[in-house]
Amino acid sequence: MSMAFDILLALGIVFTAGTALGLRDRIASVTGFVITGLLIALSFVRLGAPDVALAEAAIGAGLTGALLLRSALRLKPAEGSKSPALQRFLAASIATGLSCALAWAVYTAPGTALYPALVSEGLAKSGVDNPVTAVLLNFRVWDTLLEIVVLFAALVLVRIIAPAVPQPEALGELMLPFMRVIIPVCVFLSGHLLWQGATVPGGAFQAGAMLAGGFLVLFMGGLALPTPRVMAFGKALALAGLAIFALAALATEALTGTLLFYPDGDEKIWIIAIESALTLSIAAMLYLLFCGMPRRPAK
Amino acid sequence: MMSELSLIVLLPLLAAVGAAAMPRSAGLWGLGATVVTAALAVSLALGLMNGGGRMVAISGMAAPLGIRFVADGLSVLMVLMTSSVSIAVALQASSWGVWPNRVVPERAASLRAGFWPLWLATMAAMNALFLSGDLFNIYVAFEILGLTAVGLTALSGTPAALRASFDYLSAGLVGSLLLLLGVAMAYSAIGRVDIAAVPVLSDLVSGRIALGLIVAGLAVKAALFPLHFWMPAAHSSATPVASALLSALVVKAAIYVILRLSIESGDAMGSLRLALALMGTCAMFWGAYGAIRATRLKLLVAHSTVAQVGLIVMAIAVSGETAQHAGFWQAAALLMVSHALAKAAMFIAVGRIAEELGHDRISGLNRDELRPAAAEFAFGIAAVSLIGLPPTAGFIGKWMLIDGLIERDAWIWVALVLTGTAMTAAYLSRVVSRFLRGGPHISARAEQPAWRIGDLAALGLATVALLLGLASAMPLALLEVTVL
Amino acid sequence: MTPDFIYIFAGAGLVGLAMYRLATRRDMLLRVLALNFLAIGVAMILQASAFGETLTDAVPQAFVLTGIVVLVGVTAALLALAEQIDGHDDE
Repeated sequence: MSMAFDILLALGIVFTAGTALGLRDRIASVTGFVITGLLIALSFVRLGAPDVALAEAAIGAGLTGALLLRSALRLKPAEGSKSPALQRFLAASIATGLSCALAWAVYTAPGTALYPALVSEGLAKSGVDNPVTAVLLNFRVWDTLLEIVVLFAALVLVRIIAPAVPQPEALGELMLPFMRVIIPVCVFLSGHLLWQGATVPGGAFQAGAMLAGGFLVLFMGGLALPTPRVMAFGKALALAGLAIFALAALATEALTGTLLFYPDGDEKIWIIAIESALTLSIAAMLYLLFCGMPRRPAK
Repeated sequence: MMSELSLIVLLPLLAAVGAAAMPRSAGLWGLGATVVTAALAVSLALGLMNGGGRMVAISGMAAPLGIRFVADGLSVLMVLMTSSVSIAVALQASSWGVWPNRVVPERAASLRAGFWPLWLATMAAMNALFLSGDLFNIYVAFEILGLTAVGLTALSGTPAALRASFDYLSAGLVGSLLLLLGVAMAYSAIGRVDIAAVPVLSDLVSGRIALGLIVAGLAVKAALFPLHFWMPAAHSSATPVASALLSALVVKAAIYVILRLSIESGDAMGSLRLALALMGTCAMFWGAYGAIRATRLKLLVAHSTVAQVGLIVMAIAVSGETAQHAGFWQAAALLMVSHALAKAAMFIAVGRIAEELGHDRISGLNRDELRPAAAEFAFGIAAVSLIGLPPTAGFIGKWMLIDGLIERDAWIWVALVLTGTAMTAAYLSRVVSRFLRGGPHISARAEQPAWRIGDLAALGLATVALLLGLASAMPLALLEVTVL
Repeated sequence: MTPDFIYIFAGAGLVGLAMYRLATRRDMLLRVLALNFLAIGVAMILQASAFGETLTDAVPQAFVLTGIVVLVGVTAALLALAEQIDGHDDE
């Protein structure tokens, strides 16, 4: 029974993806992308990875969908030049061949499970109970630090390119009541996800994405428009998160002698502190990535 | 030792945040951080020579679950290479103004505000990559490099630069995803992704597929033929500083990982090595062909990078351990360092020449009564190193390479290396001969523009490239340091 | 039959579709879409290999999470570039 569900879901994913890539109407393509993203999030739940499912739904489908929609409305469609049939045939055959080879290669790989035992062993002393949070914020926190640097680099890049800020249109009458409901929900849910990430699925990234969603709703309602003050505040939040993270890393080295090795017994405090800073920072970064970062006009 | 390792990554990172937060004093943050990081690199190298290689388990968690810093001779040599080039680049970029209270034109101000955070993040990411002992960690570092390198390319803001940046970022993303796919396969095969696991990977079929995917991703990032298509366009519209960083450093990060994988996998991976050697050879000839035909200086130097990358990758591929012979990968490492120094010097010099003459057409180099002598001199010395004439480090590298190949009776490869060298000499002498040939620029009336800091930077780098050959015992001794 | 290999095939399918689209179309928005599909295809493959009957391996989950966040940053950068290129084309 459950296997039939998985097969249907997998087929649905491939079908919506193919449709999204093949449609002419760009808005429909983006919508197809968001739907595929949500189906994939569902598949992550089926695969036993709820933290990842949350992140994929919020960031992968939600935020990326918002970004793509923003661009779909602005970009002119390219001339409908179709590639010659021979090229398409070749590309299709090579793509099919490679994809089958890939699936076969992964399926037949022996796969020794090394990590789970090591994770369970280290979980008790890691300061949290959720193994994914433990990996992200303790065992492999160096990866997480570099990941935030990726967002930082994207932000600097967007600032250099300085695209025009999207102008939200006046939305209908239901917007204000909607906002009155959704914004508090976003804030509470974000804080809840952050706190509960220590024991059950959740964490800084999911919470940050939730908060960013709230900011974007404010933006759509015309209340958090990227004025210079809002921009400055957002930029400060975004940069502060990375700075705090990096300084905390140096501090752990000063305290314990090893980089990012939390002092014994205090692991949970360090993790929560870093995660809180990260949540606000990620929310600000995602908001700024969406709104663009216009340069100050020349004086 | 441990502190140096963390600071060498975290210091440029914090400076990048500082430069982004305070754009007007970005130059101060940038220059200061570059100098301090270079000092840390030297101290790290000295510590290594005295005390041997070091491994640090970050977060106190041992591999394979945790990530390790691995500081052996090769990693530290790469960090030193980055620091040397970074000083020159920082000096050149300081022409956009360093002190916050000086008034600079708006264009220079926006260049300065954009360049420093990107460059400092690049430096942090490269140091993190060179010292990393984990393949997924390397993937994330590459993602940072991809974005910052694209940012540096897009800095000039022209439509051509933006188009080239889009293509570069797309290609870079495909490369990163191939790398991630390889990491995924490695995980499926053996359940771990640290570099120490590579020998185990090369014994399994699925492991070899994983390594193949990883190398494919690296080949895109290193602009190895035939995946180099994004490079010439990116170079031709980038500012000279950006080009210097792209060719000299960012590309090296990918080549370094290929070298590391080659060393770790020992004498396995025969077919992959052959494929790499063939691609490298094709790159050598294709790049040289493009350079010989180029009409603009910047494009010539860009094609030259494609050719040199080909040579280095070929050197890595053929210098692996075999059943009968020991590996001689040190040749490839030396070639990498000498290329980085020479190429950066060349791009900075080309930038100065273009600045003075107003264009960078090769045919116009000896047509004006203007002679940017310092830049031309720097270009000439850098060319000597690139061709591989004594006493440069390039010569030592090529010598070691050919020596090792002769020992294995691999005459075909020797012939290919020598042909590639001849072609390099051919396209570089196109330019150098114009510097020396007759024309209004060597007449008595010709004016020589005033020296700028960029000239000093280029000359400095080129001289180091020249003399490194004389002092090659030092890097070679450094390379001997391994982690026990 | 465990669900993991079903999703491995789905992921490989996404990778194939994305590669096909990348090879045949030049439109910038479509390329960004295709690159995103490529990335989440790889993510699916990675996550599916981490499946365990009782417990799904936590480390690949961290990898996929990191990958998703990295992807949104790169997508934002690609779209900013595309919009600015388009703006110039108008002139």
